[in-house]
Amino acid sequence: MNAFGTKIATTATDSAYTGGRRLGPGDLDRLAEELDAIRTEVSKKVGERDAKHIRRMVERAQASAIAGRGLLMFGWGPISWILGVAALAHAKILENMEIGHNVMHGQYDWMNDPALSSQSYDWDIVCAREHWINSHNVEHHSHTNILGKDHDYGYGMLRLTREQRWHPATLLQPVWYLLLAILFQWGVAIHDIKLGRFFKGRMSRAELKRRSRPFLSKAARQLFKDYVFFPALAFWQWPRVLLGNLCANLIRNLWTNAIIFCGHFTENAQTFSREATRNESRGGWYLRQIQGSSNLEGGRWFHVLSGHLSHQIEHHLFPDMPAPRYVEIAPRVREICERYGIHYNSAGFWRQYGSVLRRIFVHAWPTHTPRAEPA
Amino acid sequence: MNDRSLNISPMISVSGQSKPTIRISEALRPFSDAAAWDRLLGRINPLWTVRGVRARVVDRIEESADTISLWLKPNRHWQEHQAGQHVLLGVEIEGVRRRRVFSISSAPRRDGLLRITLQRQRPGGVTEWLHTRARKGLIVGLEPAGGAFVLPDSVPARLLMIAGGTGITPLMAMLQQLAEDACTADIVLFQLYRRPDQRLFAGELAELARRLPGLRIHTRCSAEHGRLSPPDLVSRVPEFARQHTLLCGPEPLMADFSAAWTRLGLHTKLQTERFGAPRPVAGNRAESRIHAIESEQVFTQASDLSLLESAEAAGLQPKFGCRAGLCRTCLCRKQSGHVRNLLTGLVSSQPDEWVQLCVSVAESDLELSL
Repeated sequence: MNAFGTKIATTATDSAYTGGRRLGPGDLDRLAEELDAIRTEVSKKVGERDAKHIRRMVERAQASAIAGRGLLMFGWGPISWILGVAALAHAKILENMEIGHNVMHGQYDWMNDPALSSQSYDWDIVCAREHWINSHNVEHHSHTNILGKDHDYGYGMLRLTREQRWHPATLLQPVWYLLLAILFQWGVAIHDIKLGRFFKGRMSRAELKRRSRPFLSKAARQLFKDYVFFPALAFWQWPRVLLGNLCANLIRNLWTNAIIFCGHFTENAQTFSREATRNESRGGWYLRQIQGSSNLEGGRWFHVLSGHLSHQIEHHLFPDMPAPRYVEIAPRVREICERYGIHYNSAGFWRQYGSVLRRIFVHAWPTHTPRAEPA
Repeated sequence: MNDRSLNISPMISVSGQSKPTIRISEALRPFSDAAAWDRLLGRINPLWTVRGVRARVVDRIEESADTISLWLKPNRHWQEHQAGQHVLLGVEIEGVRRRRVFSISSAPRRDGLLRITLQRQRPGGVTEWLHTRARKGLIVGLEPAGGAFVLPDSVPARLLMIAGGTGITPLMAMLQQLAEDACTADIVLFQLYRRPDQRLFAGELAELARRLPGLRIHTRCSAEHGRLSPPDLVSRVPEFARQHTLLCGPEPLMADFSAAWTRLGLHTKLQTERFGAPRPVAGNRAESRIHAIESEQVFTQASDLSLLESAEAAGLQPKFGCRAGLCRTCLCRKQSGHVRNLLTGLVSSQPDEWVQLCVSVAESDLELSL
């Protein structure tokens, strides 16, 4: 721990430091067995209840979107406008988080329903599905919190740990963060184009053009829908609709950004080096998912609106398990962690988000990179 | 009738690449979102859709101890079938959309109704589910009718029909059609079945024999009189053996008659409809043959490799991502066969399901959309 309570990454190739005790390869194998057993048990139970849940969510999002857009287009006065914005923001949050994110993880592929298949689902956000599937499902979920491999760690613009290189521009990162939070869907959308490589001269212009294509087409579609098509349908009410859509998108951006930043950048969420994870066993992979993720505590509605990313730890262990099941298995995962002496990072939203903001401010300063961690 | 090993075009079109141009229908989302409209319309009337065919079960008839018929009333998206064709029927079982092919056992009718006839099968499948759960009012999904097992354009003067068990179903549709058209051709129908209580459509066939002056029906119960061999059949109606022949029944019977007709040099006269699913090869994974349909290749799976690795070893290049069962980039449509997911331990045994190639192994011969 440093002066600000930020814990520094630690893993060794043959054993892992958990804060309490060292886990040897045998321990890690047993850990993997116990977690695999939970997965096997749940995958046998998955069925009608899960199908009903996701269908209900789809209907709720649709009803909320119709109500929101209806109030914005045909309503009078500020109250109907506020209600309209709230309903549309609710619809977008539900669709992006509980439906889009989870469906695109393949959590409902077993239903064999083309409308809920990870192979074809496209969400109501400017990020193109193929970009997200690569940057999120492939890179982020396999390489969670490995510096240099998990491009979601700091999104290539934020310094969140002392191991990351400091640059004078890092001093302004609270400002960058505010901009990212406001424009979060755009940040997510251009993430997989990997503009950084282009600016460093490691990507040709043609390659950049090819990589940008899905984004440009998706962005055009989304902009047309929210800022041309729906306002035009409202005739003289168009400014009301346009502004309402803008606000709904903004609320969605701020909310999803806060939830997602709480997933891996909280106070005790650890980072890992390439070297330490080179010969990682399955148990080591599970351990890294737990140590690199953090949970949020709250009620049922809160879990649903976070797309069950409030159970980030369980989601990272079993990304393709229908999300409501995370709530069910969380006590068992927690109990396993206690037995193995692994820190189970879970707290309320404000506490976790506060620690994220603290990290953003602390590491804006040139905190020096430490050599090694005490054993 | 079920378990056909047919090439069914997958319901989901996998679009890996987004096109640079914006199509109008995409720009008009959410108004062009047919699934969303279907959800809304379905709240008013479950048969109302903007695209897919849905049908309501309007009657259920017990045909024999283990066989039922369901009369279906499809919505306006249904396009009339040809007698003898089959239909892909979909239901939701414990949250999972399952589909199965059934022959339509009725000719096209003025009231738009159609009938499927199904024999009880092993538990877990669509047929078993329909047997226990199908009642008046049940809503099912249908795909357009298909199949080339239909009557020749001009019906020949003599026609031979051989039906084994529930293989009578497409032939029933054809006979109804012939009766409707007041056909005068000479038709011989051999109806073969196992147990005495398994003879289907006895009354209906008697009625058809009255309407079709040229129809003669031979029945044979194998439990009482033994199986009818192809030479037996030929010797009983020698003048029909060289005529156009329609054959439908279980796999062993089909194999017998196809071989006999080939030996006689009559295979061009034989028109068949087959059913039968591959059985899992227990504990002998090394011998599973995998048919990659799209690349038209056949490869075998080594016992220590995943399906993804085996496909790569055979020179195929399936899309892949994490190779650890996480990202689903390698998700592939399995048309038939049994596949075990090594992560979950679950076996995919139904036709037309998604499998994750990187963490799956074959448990029988497979057909993959690769």
